[in-house]
Amino acid sequence: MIKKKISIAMALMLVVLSACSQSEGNKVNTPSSSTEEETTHQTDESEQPSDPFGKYSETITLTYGKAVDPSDKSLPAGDTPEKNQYSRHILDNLNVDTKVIWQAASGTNYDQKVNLAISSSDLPDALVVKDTQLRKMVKSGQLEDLTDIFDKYASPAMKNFMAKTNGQSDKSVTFDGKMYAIPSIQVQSDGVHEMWIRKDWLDKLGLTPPKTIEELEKVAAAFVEQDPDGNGKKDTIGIAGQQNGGRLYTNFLESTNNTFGLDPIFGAFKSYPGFWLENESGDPVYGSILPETKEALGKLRDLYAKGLIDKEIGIRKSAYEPVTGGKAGIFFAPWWMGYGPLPDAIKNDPSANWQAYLLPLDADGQFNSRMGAPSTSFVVVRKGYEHPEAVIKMLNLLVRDEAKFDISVPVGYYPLRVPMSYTDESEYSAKALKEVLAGTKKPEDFTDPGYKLLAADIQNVKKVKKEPYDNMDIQHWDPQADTGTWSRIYSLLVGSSPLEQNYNKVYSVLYSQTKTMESRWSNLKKLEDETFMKIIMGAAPLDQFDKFVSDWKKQGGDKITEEVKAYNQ
Amino acid sequence: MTKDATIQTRLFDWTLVIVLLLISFLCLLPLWYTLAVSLSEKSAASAGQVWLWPVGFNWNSYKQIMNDSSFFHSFWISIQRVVLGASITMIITTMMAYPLSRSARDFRLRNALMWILVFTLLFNGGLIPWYMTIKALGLYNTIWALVLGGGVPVFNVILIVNYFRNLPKELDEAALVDGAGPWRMLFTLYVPLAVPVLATVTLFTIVYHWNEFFHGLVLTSGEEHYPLQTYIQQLVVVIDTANMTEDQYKRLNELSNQTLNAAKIFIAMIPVLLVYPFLQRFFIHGITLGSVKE
Repeated sequence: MIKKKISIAMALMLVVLSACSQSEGNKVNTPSSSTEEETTHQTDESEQPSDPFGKYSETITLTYGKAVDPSDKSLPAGDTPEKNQYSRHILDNLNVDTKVIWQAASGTNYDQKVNLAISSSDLPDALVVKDTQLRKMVKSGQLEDLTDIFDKYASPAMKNFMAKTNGQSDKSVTFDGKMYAIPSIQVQSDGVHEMWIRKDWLDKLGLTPPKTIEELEKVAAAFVEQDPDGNGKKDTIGIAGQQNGGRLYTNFLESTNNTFGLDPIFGAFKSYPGFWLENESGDPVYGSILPETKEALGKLRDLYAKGLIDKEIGIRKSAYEPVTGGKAGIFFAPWWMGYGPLPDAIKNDPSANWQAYLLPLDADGQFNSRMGAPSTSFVVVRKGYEHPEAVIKMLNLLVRDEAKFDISVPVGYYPLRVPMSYTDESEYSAKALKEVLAGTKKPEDFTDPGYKLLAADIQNVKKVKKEPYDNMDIQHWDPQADTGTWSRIYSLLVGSSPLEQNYNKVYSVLYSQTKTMESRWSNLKKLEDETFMKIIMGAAPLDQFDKFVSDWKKQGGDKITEEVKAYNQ
Repeated sequence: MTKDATIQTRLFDWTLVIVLLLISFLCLLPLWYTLAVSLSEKSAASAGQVWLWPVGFNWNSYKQIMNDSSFFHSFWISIQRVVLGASITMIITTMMAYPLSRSARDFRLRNALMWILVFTLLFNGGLIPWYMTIKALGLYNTIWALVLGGGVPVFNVILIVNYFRNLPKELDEAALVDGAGPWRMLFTLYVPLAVPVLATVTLFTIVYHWNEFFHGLVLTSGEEHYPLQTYIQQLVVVIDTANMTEDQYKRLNELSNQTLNAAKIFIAMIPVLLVYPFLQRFFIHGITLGSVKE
């Protein structure tokens, strides 16, 4: 009887297995049939000269997957994420008909769809993917080699953006000397985490922005103990922390936009956990296992024990809460806080005067900031797509016309849009706005269309910024006039201005995964995150750090370090 | 509670009542909280000031939903899914359960079929083969992908099989003597007798189809095909700020619109809340009744 049952089970397995190999066969077939098409198309391509904006004589189609924002209702009636002003612009200028093969909400849902498409080899002609997905696709040979096509078709403006990143962007898309994707080029300010502080609280308590760790401790203590919000209760938080699932500091894989982390405090100890650094002999080392990190953790543990860091660090459902609720006095985040959480914070308390500084400084009086990867999203083309250059032309067109678009419909609806800008865009814009406000320069002095929003910013700045123009305190702003404009201008003038100063920029040696990381990294990271949180919250002694270092090395860290070394040579 | 209760038993009863009240309070609390948030001022909700009573009472979220065509479009898809899904599943599972409730002497393939069923309960091919199968069958992007895929919940089949098996054999024989064939036996004898378990399984199916969101995401190409829970999930999913770009910061405030999302969640709960009381009386006798017979 049992034998019978087993044999039935095995028969079933056979059915399942043969079904698998069947689909395997299909997969192999598709590329070979499309290579034929490719060769035919290459012959007629050579007849035309390569024009970055050349219009096709016959309409060609391009299918792609789209990340959409479900809460956006800006599309006029009749328009869809597939057919809108941007897709029509492409059709009119290039004669490329773009078709959305599937769409999903940007973030987790979109990633899931992309992963599904990669695993099942059911790919649209082009996609926007993340670094890990790009690597997977290159490895399984799903992507078209773009080396020559990019060289031929990319517009000078696009090549210019790439050039400003000092080869970092090229490096992120080149595998075995071949270029497999077009990288996004993001503003570097997204990776710089500043200290945001309630200046109205400082003024009330007669304090100044803390320059060193000791002063930071003093100010945080004053915020906790001296009732800065004046409600008679001891309910204020010195330093706010990340929410549940948030990160204590950025890392080499997610190197930008870590709101509410504590990166600058680590920076003040010259510690860069989560980043790959170079030691004196030029070999890569992992920042989390260095003695500076232990020192920083010791200080954080001390601050937490004294109640100066949010007791609920790492547990809160939303890190925004204490800020919008007027309970927190200090947090660390990038330049764009004017977009959120500050609009809600000043709605609840119009006197909440949040200002940003590149503080605290290290023992030598310098601000150390870790820097993000210049490229985090990538446009890829399916192997065998007949018109890979169409994708590059579309991006050329985006770069050329982005400043002219009517952005009442967000530019995210542009097919295959990835951000392309000068990496210093926000600092440059902040400086330009200040010069225009001070009257030392005229709007006409800024003509480089690469700074695409600057012209509009100059036009709008006086709508929300009241005189005196050189005082950035909240009472000299008019957020009610136009919240959208206020968000951008406040982010620039308050958030980006500090970045004009000189500060020490620390780049990670590596911004992507090596081979062993694929299997080991998530465990190593978990070990790191848990140990560090335990140390800070006092659940483990500081010397647990030494055990962490040896565990980390044993559990694959040493091997990974070797790989990083090999990767860099 | 019996009449001649002693003080002790009465005390026991009251303790039970209080404990149950506390438990039901715990169950109602999230619903009430969602309602309170949905009726509050946006900035108060994001500052975490709302607890049991709305702060800055207003109907804005509900007004906004009334103008949101995609919400109602998804609502309609969900209703289609529940109606189609529940009917198809009920017909198939009932017709499957009847032969499987016969003994192996009457139906020789019974054990083999049962094994196949149980096998699928324990093992499955995983997401990717599932997706490829649906796509190859041409069901991708249709309501049928959501209704037919997973149309036979094996656990429910087993529930009904066991219920059928516990019905007295004598009824069976009597019907046979009266000349009833298998179809007649199933529909005039077994189905009416099995109303409790069928109602229970119907409820399971309705709740499953109403609440399931992942298939809606994977097996369709976009918002115009999403059932309601998929539509809501994409609004409340935690966004990852690590790879955000400039225009995404701008929309961050709208994305963190807790009041609107709470209103949507609340409206989405209403249909299930309405169906429950009607099926609940069967639900109470439901599964246990079958097991204590004889």
